[in-house]
Amino acid sequence: MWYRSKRDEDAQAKQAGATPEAEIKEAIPMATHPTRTAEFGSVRSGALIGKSLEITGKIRGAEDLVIDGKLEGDVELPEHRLTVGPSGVLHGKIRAREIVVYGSVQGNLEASERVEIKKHAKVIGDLKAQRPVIEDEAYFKGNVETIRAETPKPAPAQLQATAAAASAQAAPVQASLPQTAAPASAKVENRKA
Amino acid sequence: MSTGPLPRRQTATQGGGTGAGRRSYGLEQITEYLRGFEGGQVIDFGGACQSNIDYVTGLGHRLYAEDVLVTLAGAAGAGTIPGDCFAFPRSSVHAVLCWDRLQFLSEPQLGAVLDRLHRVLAPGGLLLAIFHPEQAPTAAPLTCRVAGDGQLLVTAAAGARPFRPFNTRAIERLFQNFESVKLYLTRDNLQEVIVRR
Repeated sequence: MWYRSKRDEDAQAKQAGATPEAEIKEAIPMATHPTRTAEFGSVRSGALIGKSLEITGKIRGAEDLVIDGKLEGDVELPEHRLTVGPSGVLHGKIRAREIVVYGSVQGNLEASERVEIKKHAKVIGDLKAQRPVIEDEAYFKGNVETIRAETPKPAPAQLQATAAAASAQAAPVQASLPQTAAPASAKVENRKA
Repeated sequence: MSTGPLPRRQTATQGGGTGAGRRSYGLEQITEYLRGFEGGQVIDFGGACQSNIDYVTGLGHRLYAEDVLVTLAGAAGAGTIPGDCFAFPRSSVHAVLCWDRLQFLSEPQLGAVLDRLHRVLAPGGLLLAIFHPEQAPTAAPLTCRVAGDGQLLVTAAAGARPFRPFNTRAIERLFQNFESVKLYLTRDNLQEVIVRR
C-alpha cells in the first residue's frame, strides 16, 4: 500500500512538472527572422562586423552598427547608434547619434546625443557630444566639448542691440499707457536684473 | 613675481567642507576666472574624469584630458616631450589643472613640460598644481575630482612612488617665468599653488 501510494505521488509529481513546461514551450513563438542576442547591454537589432573581420574604407548607413572587428576608415550613422565592442579596433572619424565604446578608437568622435566610453576602453581623439560620459578606468586622451541643446547665448554687444531695439519698439506703447502702468513695467525690469 | 600669503591650515568646518570634498582656494580662483567668459580651453593632466569634464564643460569650455604620467612613462631621461602631448598653439589655453603630476616627472621632463605650458597658456591664464609635503619620501599620484563649487575631492591612487620634493622657495623658482605664484597649505598637508601666466 505504501509502495503504491509512493508510485502514485511520483506520477502526480511528473504530471505536475511536465504540464507547465509543455505549456511554456507551446507559448514561445518561433523566430521567423534571424535575431541577435543582447550584446553589450543592448537588444537592438542592426549590423555587426564580427571579430575576425578587417575592413578598410568608409561606412555610411541608416541602421545601428556594432563593430567588433577592425576598421580603418570613417563611420557615419547620423541617426543611429555605433557600438565599438570589446574586440573592436577603429582608426577613423565617427559621426553618429550615439557612440558607445568598449574597445579601442583612434580618431575624433562626434555624436548628436551621447558618447559613452566604457571601463577599459581606449580612445585617443577629440570628443564632441551633448552628453559625454567617460567611465573610470577608461583611457581617454583628447579634447571634450559639449554640444548645447538650447540656442547659444548672444554676445553682449548683440544683446544690448536687441534690448535697445525692444525698448524702442516698446516706447510708443508705454507712452500711450496710463501713468499707473509704469510701475508694473519697472517691476518686470527689476526681476530680470 | 609675487608670492601670496600662506593661509593658516583649515579645519573641516573652517574650510567649509561638505564631506564630499574639501574647499580648494586654487579651484575657487580658477572657477571665478573661467566664469568670466565661454569657449575657452582647459587642460587636465590627471586624465579623463567625469566630474572634471562636467565641471569644465558646464562652465562653457572645452577640456583636454591627458594623464601626462602615462604619456611620458618610459621616457624619463628625455628632455623633450612628444609632439602630440598637449600640443596646442601658442597662448590658446586658458587654464591648466596640473594636480600633483609635475612632482612625478624627471628633471628633464619637468623642464620641457613647463616650457610648453608657458608657451601654450594665454597671458592671464591660470595653472593649478598640488605639491606633496617634502618630508614624505614617497607618495601615490592623486586623483583629484571637482566635487562642487570650489570643492575638491582628493584621493590617493594605489602604488606609492618616489617624487621630487619641493619646498616653498623651490616652487617659486619652478614658476619663475610666470607672472605670479600663490601658495596655500591645505588641511590635508598639501601645498596648493595657483600660477598666473
